[in-house]
Amino acid sequence: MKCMRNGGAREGTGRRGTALVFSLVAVSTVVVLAASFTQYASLVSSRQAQAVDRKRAFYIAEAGLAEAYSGLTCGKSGVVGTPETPALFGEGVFWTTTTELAPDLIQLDCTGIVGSGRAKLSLVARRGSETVFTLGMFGDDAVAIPAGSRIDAYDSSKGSYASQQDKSGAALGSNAAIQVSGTTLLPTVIVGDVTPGPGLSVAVTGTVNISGSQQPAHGPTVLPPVSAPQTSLAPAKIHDSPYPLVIPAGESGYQSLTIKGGSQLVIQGPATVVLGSLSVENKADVTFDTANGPIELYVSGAFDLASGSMVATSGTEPSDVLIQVPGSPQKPAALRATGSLYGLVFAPQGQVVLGPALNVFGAVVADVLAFDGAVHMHFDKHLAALSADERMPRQLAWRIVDMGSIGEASADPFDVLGLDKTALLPPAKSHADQVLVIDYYDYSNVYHTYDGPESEFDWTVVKDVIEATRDGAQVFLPRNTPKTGVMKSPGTLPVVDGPMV
Amino acid sequence: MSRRSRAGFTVIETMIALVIIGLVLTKLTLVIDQARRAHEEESVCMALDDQALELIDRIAYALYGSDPQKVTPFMETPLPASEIHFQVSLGVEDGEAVWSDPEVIGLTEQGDAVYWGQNLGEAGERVVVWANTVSELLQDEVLNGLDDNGNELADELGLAFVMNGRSITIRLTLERMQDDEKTVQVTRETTVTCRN
Repeated sequence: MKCMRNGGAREGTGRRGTALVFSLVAVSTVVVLAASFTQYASLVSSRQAQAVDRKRAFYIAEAGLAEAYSGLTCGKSGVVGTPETPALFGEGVFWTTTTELAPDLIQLDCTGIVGSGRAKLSLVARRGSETVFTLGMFGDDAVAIPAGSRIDAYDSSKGSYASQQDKSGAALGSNAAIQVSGTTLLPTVIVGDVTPGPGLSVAVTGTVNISGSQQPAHGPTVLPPVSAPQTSLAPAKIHDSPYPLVIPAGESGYQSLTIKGGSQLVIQGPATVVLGSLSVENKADVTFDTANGPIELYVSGAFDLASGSMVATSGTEPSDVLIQVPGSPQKPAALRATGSLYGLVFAPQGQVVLGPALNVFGAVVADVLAFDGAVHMHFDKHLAALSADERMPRQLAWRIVDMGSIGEASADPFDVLGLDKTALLPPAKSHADQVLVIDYYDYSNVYHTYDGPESEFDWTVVKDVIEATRDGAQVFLPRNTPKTGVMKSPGTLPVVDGPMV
Repeated sequence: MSRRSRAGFTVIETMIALVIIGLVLTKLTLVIDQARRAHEEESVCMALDDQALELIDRIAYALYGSDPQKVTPFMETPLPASEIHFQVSLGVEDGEAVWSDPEVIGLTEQGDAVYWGQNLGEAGERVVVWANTVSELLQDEVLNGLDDNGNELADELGLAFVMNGRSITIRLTLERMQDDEKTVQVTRETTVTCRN
């Protein structure tokens, strides 16, 4: 019985064991599949997390570039953070370095790190430049406005001069004294500001109406030199024909060009024309055809639009015609022609003489300004808006930089770089410190001056900036109304600020 | 007799036991097969999704540095292009921007692979296939001249580019056939803004 029971028990155990084996095989198979799937899912998840981190690092680097670029727009160096003390941005960090490629070209490189993601982006920008044409009518030397003159302003972006009622906003300035004359029969009208050099005043004789301020300049205005583009010049030419001489679009030039009476010169834009000298004789015509683009004319020697000659521009946009006089020619650029010149004239080291029969719409800036008679100058206020655009840096190139490897691919950039997260500053406070020299008005309209590290200056006390430089470079601040003319002196001594922060 | 009958099983008992074991085995086989199929399907889905993500990121990173003026064809909605020609910025030299040799991303002639190429048909030609599991058409699209999948594009292929100003929208569908001839599809979409 025992044996039978035992034997029966053994058989029963054997059957139960078979079921167990089947169950174990089934469970093991499912477990292996589940484990394999889990491992694969984990691998995929990890790869996707890395892809997400790469994207986050990319966007952090973009944010860093944007911060540096916005710094450039207001005269900062473009350096934001360093590898040792990067700027803290979200859960990641970035730092931006700069490389000067040329006097007006700067390269910004930004490295962003977050989680296991790293990205480096590079941007090359051309620095903005200040144009002198917001000065309106300006002479480095003393300026004497004759009787019967009219100097006013209009906005070429709002229509023609004749169609505009508001003629205010003209700017007449000098680094030296300014004298304005008028008579009862020939009164002089200046609808705007007259700004003599620092510490000087405006001498008015006779019937003169100046609607704006006559405060002197805050400081001297430096006129940048002009250099003509390098281009091969054709031999000297004298044009004496009933058929017009057409200088077509593109770059061209003559060693000298003379337009005889009864002949016509047409310059077609877009063109850059370099002339050793230009003489447009009595009864000759010169036309600037800007229908297809702007014209830049450089005249390095004698420049004479003789009395009795005619000048005309096909368009009415002054910024389309730029006449520049490089160097310091012995003879003045004499614009004694009759007609309307919509254009900008710049002779930083030369003399410009304006005749009474010429109406200038735009701006004239020269070392010496002289007049043969009453001057008719209509400053284009739109030049200020154009100048504000030109002050902004312009992006030339943007690219992703291959980073290679940056040490250990840790999930925490603070570990990799050995950083204390709590000690890092946000991007706005991570710009490299610079020497700030600033003249400004506070909210009580008190004139202040400060010269020291920008980190010790409190910008919140500034209501209006008169003038500022960072590391010696002019600071251009975005303004709702772009300024024209020469910066005025506050007329009082400033309060000298010490460290504020 | 009675001892033998107690020691063994009747035919009926044996048959019942065998039937039960058979049922259990069948069920187990089914369960294991289902688990294997689920595993395979999920694995394929994940692999495709991973591949699609990586591929669309790769295309996007390639296009970030381009200039929209140098991108062709400039196809606007609803005309997608399955190929895009572009140049990316390499920096600045002598004050002028320097551009890469002409590059292209598109579908191969068979339409089932995405390739990147440079200097096609010229000296220094380079071609790299980035993925070879591209669907013939974008998901839920049918070749009928209509917008079947509601993305405002008609009859778009498995890789489609659409430009809108400075932005390029990239749509991509990858597909793979499983052992049971069931097709798995994954679609990804992203928009890139040209930085130059």
